[in-house]
Amino acid sequence: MELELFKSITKYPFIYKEEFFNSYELEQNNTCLKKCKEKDCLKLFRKDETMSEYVCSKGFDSFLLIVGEHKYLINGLILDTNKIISKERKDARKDWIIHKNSLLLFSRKIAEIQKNLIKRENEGSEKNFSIFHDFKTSMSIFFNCTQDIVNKLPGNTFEEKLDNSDKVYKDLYNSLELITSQLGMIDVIINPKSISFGIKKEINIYKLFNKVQILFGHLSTKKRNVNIELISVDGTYIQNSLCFESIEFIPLILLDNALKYSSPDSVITIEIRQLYRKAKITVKNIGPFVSDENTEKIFDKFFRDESAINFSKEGIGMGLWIAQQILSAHQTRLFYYKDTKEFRPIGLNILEFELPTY
Amino acid sequence: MSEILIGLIVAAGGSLLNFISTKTYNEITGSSKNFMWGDSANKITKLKAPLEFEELKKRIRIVVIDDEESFPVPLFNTEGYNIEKWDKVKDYGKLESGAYDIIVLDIKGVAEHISADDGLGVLESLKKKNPAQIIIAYSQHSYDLSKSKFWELADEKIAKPSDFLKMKNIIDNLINTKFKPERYIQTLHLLLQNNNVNKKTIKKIDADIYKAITKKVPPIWQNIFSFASNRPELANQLTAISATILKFFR
Repeated sequence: MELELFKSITKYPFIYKEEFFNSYELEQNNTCLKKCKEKDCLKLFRKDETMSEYVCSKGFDSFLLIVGEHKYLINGLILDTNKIISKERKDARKDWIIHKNSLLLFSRKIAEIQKNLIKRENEGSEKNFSIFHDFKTSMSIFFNCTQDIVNKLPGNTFEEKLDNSDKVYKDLYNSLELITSQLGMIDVIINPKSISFGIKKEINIYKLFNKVQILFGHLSTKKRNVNIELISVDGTYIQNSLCFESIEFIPLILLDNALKYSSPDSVITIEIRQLYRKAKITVKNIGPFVSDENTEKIFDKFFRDESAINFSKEGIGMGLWIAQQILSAHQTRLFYYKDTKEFRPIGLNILEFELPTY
Repeated sequence: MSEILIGLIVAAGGSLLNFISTKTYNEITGSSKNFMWGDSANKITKLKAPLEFEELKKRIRIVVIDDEESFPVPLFNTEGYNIEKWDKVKDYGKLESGAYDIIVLDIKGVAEHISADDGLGVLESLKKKNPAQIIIAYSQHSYDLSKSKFWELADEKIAKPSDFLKMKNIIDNLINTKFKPERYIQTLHLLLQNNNVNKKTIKKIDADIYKAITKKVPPIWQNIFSFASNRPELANQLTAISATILKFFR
């Protein structure tokens, strides 16, 4: 449950991500806000139980509510059973005295609202994406027709038929893979769990980038005459990694991103280094810099930096978020660096990540 | 002459003693030692399947259960795979008995007549009965949050639509990594242990399967799994897994 919604329905003051909020009915207890230096109630945020209780060093009662992915700490209350707070202090803070039952009732209501929200969300996505389902069905027909075309070519096996065919057939067939990947990325946006569907397989990150480089080959030269170079640093063989199928989206996203934001006549360089039990992948391009305050935000869903919006109309700010989610499922992450010595708005941008190899 | 006679008597006596001691030892410990004191029960785990990938590919029975026609069945058949296509689950008993080594299953519109949860219900039920059954989730609904369980329970997934070579790679990878006798032997042992079958009986079952493989004697499952005669569901599960083990060595 999002902060705005929780704030609008709670009767009690609360803390969210260490920030103190009043409810519409009751303000924060003055002791919590101004007098308490320890803020020891914040320890409760470390707990993972749905509802945990804590009596703070000042004697007030706090409760942690976990609602979906969010943790809310209801703080500064006095339970009617509280024996630590003196009668005088209780008299001065009558509004903060509550019955535990009413708090439990509130907790149950919140859980029920959350359950219904998820139900609605699922129903909503089912309805909204039924059109997406129809699109996939149409695509299946396109896939079958393309495969029939290739199958009629000379050769003993399907692979042989494709290998011996003209570039136009290969491009047509390769476009199928691109469509599957693009559809898979939409799946990730709607259902991030789909990142780790299936079993982990042996992949070679160099070969993956190479495949996408070839796929993007004709597209990149058409687009502002940008070329793509793939280098295995020191010429060493890049070892295999064990990854979910979704790792295939990473080269697609990073190259698509670099192409979108590359200056005309520039070169996108992909460097892959074999380090001890890991490969380091660096994608460099010349394009608009991300402003300093947004170097982390570019990995957020739907975020586009001002410089990116001005440079290219394409994109909705999903690519880097998807890439970060996929890498996170592989216990690694993507970093953004830029040329700090360059004072013009356009220069060297670097996206980098590491992948365990064996 | 008398020395030869004494030698023969000693040898015969020794053999008889060995026979009696082996039988007694096996009876007491539940082992399956032969007269050379080798353990035939343990040998089953050391057996190496002699089949090459191309041969295995032809022997493996695959069924695609999908209400649409997106799976390129004819292409797979041309390449030597043994694939059948069902529009819906038309014979659940066949799936349950392990008749198919790989099941490619759609989630929607394939099993409404037998399960309220459609494809998910079938997947859950098959996995419960035979955890070694290889099931590939094949659906357009990978975006659907409410159906995540379907994908999590399956051994592998094929996104729909996918191109033929991608599908082929996924199936080949499964054959190479999961379709191995040791995986089925391990599942069989686990199933027996989970059903409180004692070590002695497990060793005897291993020895019987080993004998069926090496001597090429058709096994009589109802005798091998006679201890489960009053539990037909368990007997069926055990037979399905054991029959798959034998498939590797035929």
